[in-house]
Amino acid sequence: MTAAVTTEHREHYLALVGHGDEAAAVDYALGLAECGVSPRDLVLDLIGPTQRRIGDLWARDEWSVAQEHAATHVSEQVVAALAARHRPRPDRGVVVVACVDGEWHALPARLFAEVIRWDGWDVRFLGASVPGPHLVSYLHRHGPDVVAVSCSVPTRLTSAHRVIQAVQDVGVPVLAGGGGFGPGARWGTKLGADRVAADGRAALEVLRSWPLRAVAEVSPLRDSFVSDDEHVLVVKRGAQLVAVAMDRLADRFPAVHGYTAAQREATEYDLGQIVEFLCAGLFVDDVELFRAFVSWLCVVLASRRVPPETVDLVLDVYHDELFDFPRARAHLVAGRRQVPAGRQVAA
Amino acid sequence: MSEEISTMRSQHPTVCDPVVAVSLAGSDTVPRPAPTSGNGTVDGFSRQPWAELLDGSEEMVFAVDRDGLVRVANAAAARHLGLTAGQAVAATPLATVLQGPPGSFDADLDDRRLRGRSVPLGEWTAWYVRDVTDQTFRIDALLAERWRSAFLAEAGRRLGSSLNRARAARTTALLAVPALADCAVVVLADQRELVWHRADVDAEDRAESTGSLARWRLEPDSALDQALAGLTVQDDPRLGEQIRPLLADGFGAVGSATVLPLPGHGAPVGALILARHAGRAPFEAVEVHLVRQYAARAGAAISAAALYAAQADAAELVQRSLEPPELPQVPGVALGAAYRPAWEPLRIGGDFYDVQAGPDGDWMFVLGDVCGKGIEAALQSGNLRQSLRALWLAESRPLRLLDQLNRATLTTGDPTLATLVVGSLTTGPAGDVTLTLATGGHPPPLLLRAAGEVAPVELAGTAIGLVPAAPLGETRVVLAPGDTLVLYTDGVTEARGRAADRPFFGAERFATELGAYRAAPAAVIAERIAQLVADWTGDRLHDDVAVLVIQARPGPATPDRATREDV
Repeated sequence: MTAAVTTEHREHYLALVGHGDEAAAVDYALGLAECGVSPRDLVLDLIGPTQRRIGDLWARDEWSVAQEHAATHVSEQVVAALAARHRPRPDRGVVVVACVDGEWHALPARLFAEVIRWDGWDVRFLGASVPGPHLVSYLHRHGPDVVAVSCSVPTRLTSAHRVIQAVQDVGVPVLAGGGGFGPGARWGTKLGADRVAADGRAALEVLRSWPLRAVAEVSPLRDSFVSDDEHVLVVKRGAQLVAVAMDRLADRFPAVHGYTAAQREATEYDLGQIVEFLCAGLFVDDVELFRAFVSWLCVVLASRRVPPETVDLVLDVYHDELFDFPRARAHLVAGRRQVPAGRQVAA
Repeated sequence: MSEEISTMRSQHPTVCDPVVAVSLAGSDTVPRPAPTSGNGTVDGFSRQPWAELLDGSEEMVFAVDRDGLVRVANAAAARHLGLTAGQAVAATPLATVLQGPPGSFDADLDDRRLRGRSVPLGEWTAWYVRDVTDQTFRIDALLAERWRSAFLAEAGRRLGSSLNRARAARTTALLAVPALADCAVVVLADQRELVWHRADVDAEDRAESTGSLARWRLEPDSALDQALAGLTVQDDPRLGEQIRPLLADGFGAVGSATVLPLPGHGAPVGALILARHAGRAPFEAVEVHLVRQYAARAGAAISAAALYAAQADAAELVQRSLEPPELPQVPGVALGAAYRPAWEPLRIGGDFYDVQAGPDGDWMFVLGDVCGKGIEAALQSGNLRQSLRALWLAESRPLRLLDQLNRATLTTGDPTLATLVVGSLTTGPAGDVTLTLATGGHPPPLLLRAAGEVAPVELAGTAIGLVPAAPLGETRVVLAPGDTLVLYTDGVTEARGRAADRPFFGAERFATELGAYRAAPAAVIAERIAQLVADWTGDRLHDDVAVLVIQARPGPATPDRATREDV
């Protein structure tokens, strides 16, 4: 007997995790499992979508960051409970699942790890932010068939690139997945991953149909995929860009002068984020990355009553400052087009 | 010499002479105008000299008419090709080449490699043929040598990239087919077991298989036994039958095979079996040399991997013993912890925490920081934890515990310098939790009241490991339901930010951030603190971070809740 996850199930589950009601959420999920919903569907159709929904609720300022974290914690416990109940004997190869260095969002990787475990793989989940040396040493010791690298935030793509190369240098093929690799995980392909998967179901298929060998297919000499070093140079200028943008914001919005130290820090953090996403976009040489980030940022700020002009102003400042960075300017121009129309600062 | 000259003279000069003269001019590329005057001029001054000129060439030069008859042939052509003027070219493969369209050709005549080209010469066709046997041989040998070098370099690179023994063995087998043989089996020698990895040439690519056999079943003095003892076995007629059990079922007749040791540090680490199908050429001398070099590289990679595994096993045991412990389930109390070591390779550090049942029905906990970094600090923190676990069995008063721990530390020659908070925990009937805390030089824990304020607990004392009668502080805290105590190491507050002036994370910012998480579960608070610090520092932690969060459960703890969490 099998059953599918419905919208009602998701709504109910969202309410439970929203209240941080761990016991009820666990019981609810286990109850659905007993009613014939496969644990795989619970993860892919209930917990996964709910987590994305929670991120959205935070972005729209409907949930506090503490509530978001408490809900995520509950989902972690739910997955742990499901995993404890369903432990099939592995009859496929060994897959190491690791979040890239600096990636602390472990839940998406954990969900993936459990789903492929239920598909018969012998899964070693190394958790959040796995340092490169630790991962390489683990691979030497255990010689897995595949390393699945998870990246949820595009700003960790440079880390992801290092990890992918390090793993391939050890002769182990890499499967890249997670929201950080972009639509259809296409930046995973760009960074040289042997395979990519846009979502959990795709990953299951990729792994099943992958003829795994001891000898990696990748050549040791890799070409750089961008023609210049803009992504590196802009990182170096990050602090300076933030400082200039801060001054210009204060000129334009006098209220900034009255900011508390904490408010100032928070603003600087946001300005720094913009630089980081810009650099990530330059790194994979795809304006879509920065464009998507600016759209998201405008939603986040609008729900917190920050006028979109501020975003436009900052992008304009960066555009001026980076006058000798043609690619960065193209990304910034593309980003500015995402700022809600009619609200832009007159040049 | 005279014989060949007479061969030249027997031709028909009227037709060939002027044309040949032009041809000669063309072939040695000296730019000179082609003679435009009558035949006699060329005939007059050049016949004898250019005939001899051609005879002096090492290149075979001859001309054939439309009927396939040789009309002119120089000395080299007569000598090497056996051509005679006026006769047809009979010997294959030259005859075949000459019947075909004009152009270039490479042909083997006996054991010589000939390379020729033709030029139309009026009614005839002129042929220029060179013996390129030596040249070709040199190039072939060079290409073969270059292939062997490239193969070994590539093998070395691939084998050297992994420090995993099984993977190195699989790689050894896979790279050997089809380059060296049609089937390759790597046998790894262990005390009791021989694990083998085999690669076969497959319809699509290569097929892999693996298995093992008990060592005692190895036939004494068989090829495999000899190879494992360090001897190479080759060209033994019984070899095919001996290795048969390790070959794939459908392999068929073994044409040639060799079994050779994979040299290790001292004794061989295993053996490499290479088998070729009956149709394939046997191993030549130069290939035997190549195979040995390959086996040397494979052996080095496999033994390095084995050595690494031995050391990594030891390191992992150490690491596991030093990893932060899992938190126990304490009724009425929510515990949370986070741990982020700065030293990455083993993910352990000098910060530590622990929670354990005490002697009098209460619970004991500790959070501390050993001075120093890396593996040494981690080992010292492990010792402290062990000492405490022993002391906890007998003593539950935190101040006395700390004093005993200090004295115990000072008995060693190189005392561990550490700061820590030790405490005991008892739950009351109304869901309140009473904590007794003692500190040695550690940052005071933060108290988050469910009602509102975030404040440090008043607690002071000096670090342990310095003097015997160290002044240590003790205090008592009562947590009402929903209240939270946060113990942390200075890796939190002294984390330096990524801003230009590298500011500390600081106690104030820490308290402000915590305020937003007052209602959150203990595990969320702990994780959030570690995350805030990681975000603050940006890239790398410079000091370990450890956090232990103790929370009196909001509302009465229900029994079914406790049992469910045990699942």
